[in-house]
Formats: sequence, C-alpha cells, structure tokens
Amino acid sequence: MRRDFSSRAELVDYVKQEFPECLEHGEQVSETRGGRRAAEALLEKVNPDRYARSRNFLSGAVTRLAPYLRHGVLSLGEVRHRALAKPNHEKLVNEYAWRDYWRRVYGQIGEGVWKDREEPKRRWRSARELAELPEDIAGARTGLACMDGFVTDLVTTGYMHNHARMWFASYVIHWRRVRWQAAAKFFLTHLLDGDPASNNLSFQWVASTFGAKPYLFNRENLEKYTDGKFCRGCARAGDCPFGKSYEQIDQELFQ
Amino acid sequence: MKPVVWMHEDCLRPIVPGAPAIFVFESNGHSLKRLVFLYECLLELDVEIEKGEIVPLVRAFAARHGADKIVTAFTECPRLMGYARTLGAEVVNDDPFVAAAGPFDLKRFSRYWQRIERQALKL
Ligand SMILES: Cc1cc2nc3c(=O)[nH]c(=O)nc-3n(C[C@H](O)[C@H](O)[C@H](O)COP(=O)(O)OP(=O)(O)OC[C@H]3O[C@@H](n4cnc5c(N)ncnc54)[C@H](O)[C@@H]3O)c2cc1C
Repeated sequence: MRRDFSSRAELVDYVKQEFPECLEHGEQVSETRGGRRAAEALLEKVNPDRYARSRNFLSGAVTRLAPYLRHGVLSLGEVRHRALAKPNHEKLVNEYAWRDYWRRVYGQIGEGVWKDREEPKRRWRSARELAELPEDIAGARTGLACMDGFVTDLVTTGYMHNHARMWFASYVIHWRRVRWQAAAKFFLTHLLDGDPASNNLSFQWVASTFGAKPYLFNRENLEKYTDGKFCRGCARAGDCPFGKSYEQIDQELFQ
Repeated sequence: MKPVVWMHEDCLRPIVPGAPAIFVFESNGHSLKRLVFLYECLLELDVEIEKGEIVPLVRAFAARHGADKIVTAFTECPRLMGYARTLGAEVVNDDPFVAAAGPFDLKRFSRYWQRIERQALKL
C-alpha cells in the first residue's frame, strides 16, 4: 500500500477508498495523530504529581497515552520507567498496572472476556435486559447532556476520559439494563485505544461480573468532576435520573 | 540468520533493528479514525504495508527477502498469536511492564498489585 502522502487529507481519502467498509461507523477522523513523534510529545508532558491530584476530573492532567500503549507504539515498561524519573509517580504507575493486569487476565481467558467472569452481585428490579444498545444512546439523543456529550466526543475524537467511561457504562448497564457486551462493542468500535482486555474487563467491573459490587454514581459526583459543565443547561436537569442519594438509587435499581 | 519481522497492531514499534518488516491490515471492523491512526503510526516506521490475509502475505514477504526466520512481538491476543504459530514465528516479549515471574493470582487487581508493587516502583 502507499506510503507517500502530501497531506493528512490525502491519507484520509486513500484510507476511505481502500477500506470503504469502515465508513459504516462514520466519517470522523480524530485530531489525535498516530506515530511515535506524537506519543513522545505527550510522554514529555506527563506530570505524575498533577495526574495523581486531578485525574478524576474531566479537566484533569490525564496523559492521553492510551492509544499509543494499546498499539504498542510505546511499551508499558518504557512509560513506567519514564514515570519513575518524576516525583510522586505512585498513582500513575498504579494506573499503568491496571492495563497490565487486564492484559494478563486476557492472556488467561482469551475470548472469555466476552462472557461474565462471575455472577452479577445484585439483581435488577426488572429482569428486562436489552441485547442491543438503544438508538437514543448510540445517537446521543437521550436528552441527558452528560451522556449525549460523552457519546458525541467518543464518536468524533475516539477518546473518552476514564471517569466518563465509568459513568457511561454504569448508566447503560444499570439504568438502561443493556447487556454490557453491547456497550463494550460500541466502545471498541470508536475508541482509538479500544482493546478487548481493558475495555471488556472494565465493563465487567462496572457490571459487577468482575468485581465485588456494581459501580454506581449520582449527579453530585458527576457534577463535581465535570465542573458542572453538562448539568448547566441540561434539558433533563429537572428529571435527572442521577439526582438522588446513593441509597435511593440503589433501591430504585436493585432488588 | 536473516530475520524478517511481522508487525501487528498490538506492537507498532521496531523489535529487530534493521530487519525488513511487514504489516498487514485485515478487514476487522475498525472505524475510519482508528485506521487513520494506525496508518499514521506505520508511516513513521520502516515497514511495508499490505492489506489482505496475514499468513500468505507474511510468508511471501519472508520468501522475497530470503529470510530464514520470522519474528513477531508477543501479545495476549489469541487470534494474532494463532497466526504467529501458523507462521512458525519466533515470539519476543521485548519490554514487559515488570519482569516478575508468574504464576500470578489474578482474581482481583489488589492481589496482583500487592505482588508486583515493589518491582513496579523500582527503577
Ligand atoms: C468502561 C471502560 C472501558 C474502557 N476501555 C478501555 C479500552 O478499550 N482501552 C484502554 O486502553 N483502556 C480502557 N479503559 C481504561 C481507561 O479508561 C483508559 O485507559 C483511559 O481513560 C485512557 O485515557 P488516558 O490515556 O488519558 O489515561 P490516564 O488516566 O492518563 O492513564 C494512563 C494510562 O494508564 C492506563 N490506565 C489508566 N486507567 C486504566 C484502567 N482503569 N484500566 C486499564 N488501564 C488504565 C492506560 O494505559 C492509560 O493510558 C476503560 C475503562 C472503562 C471504565
């Protein structure tokens, strides 16, 4: 295949022409550039101390290294070494270890990442479970500014912040009772870092089929870590399904 | 020894300096944005880019270069390692996260972390 492109636009046109089937997932191209140079530039900027203090905030100092780690442009050993040379690196190294952990589990169970690892720890009030991701979710039309915003970002950039992935997965699995596999497939299609190990096993962690309890959140939590940017002006702020205490949410969702 | 490298999408970095390398795009449902990302990674590497079936294309590449060995990078992906077996490729794990030897108790992350923490936090 060709290697000589005078611009990114030319490369994009060529890829579209050579892989027309990919267009069924949309025509978006991410701002994130592939390659070692781009990865190095991000690696330079990694600040483990700020990371540890702010990683849960959408505006926090996260690294955005995942697509490069996923595709081995950078190795986990290499980024670990680079982190150790900077102060306060424990949290970041611990997060890198999550990737290594999921990878090792994948090594043990292979395609088993698509099946429940364990029994879910709680039963929903309604037994209904959807096999497919509903169109309002995939099309960013739930009316919930947060969830629609996460999907729009995912589809256009190929990236979603870790906390947003957790909220979104929890909403889809526990509030909407969609089988986690359907949402996992959607993520794998659109994430630049989409990876059956980290992705499917994280979904299972949220679902409690690989963890001690279902992951839940409420509006207060989401509002805090997003600096309120979605809730301000959300059309559904008045009937927000997350605007409750954890006890209320638990009672509403589970038996 | 004259090796060639079969590069796959789980390890887009050189693993045998100077050896000719090939990458093959399979039709595996990637989005346009992921394909562009992967393609950009490849354009920074000295690698021949192909599209189609991995095993015959890698074999033909090795034959064209008169290679007596195919080398590839380790991945946990069973499909890719299946191709490596079919190709009789040597599999290298060039830069693991930590060198600790298993077996590991992988029931929960906390147990795994407890086991590797000291090594992970050591230069
Ligand atoms: C539902 C769900 C799906 C996910 N799907 C994927 C996926 O397909 N691919 C993927 O690489 N990660 C996945 N993750 C893990 C995590 O969200 C991403 O690795 C992270 O958000 C990527 O952004 P970053 O590079 O800025 O991360 P940072 O927060 O800057 O973290 C640095 C690096 O550490 C690793 N890391 C951090 N947190 C985790 C974690 N919880 N699990 C595994 N590795 C971690 C990643 O390699 C990441 O690049 C998922 C998490 C959830 C909750």
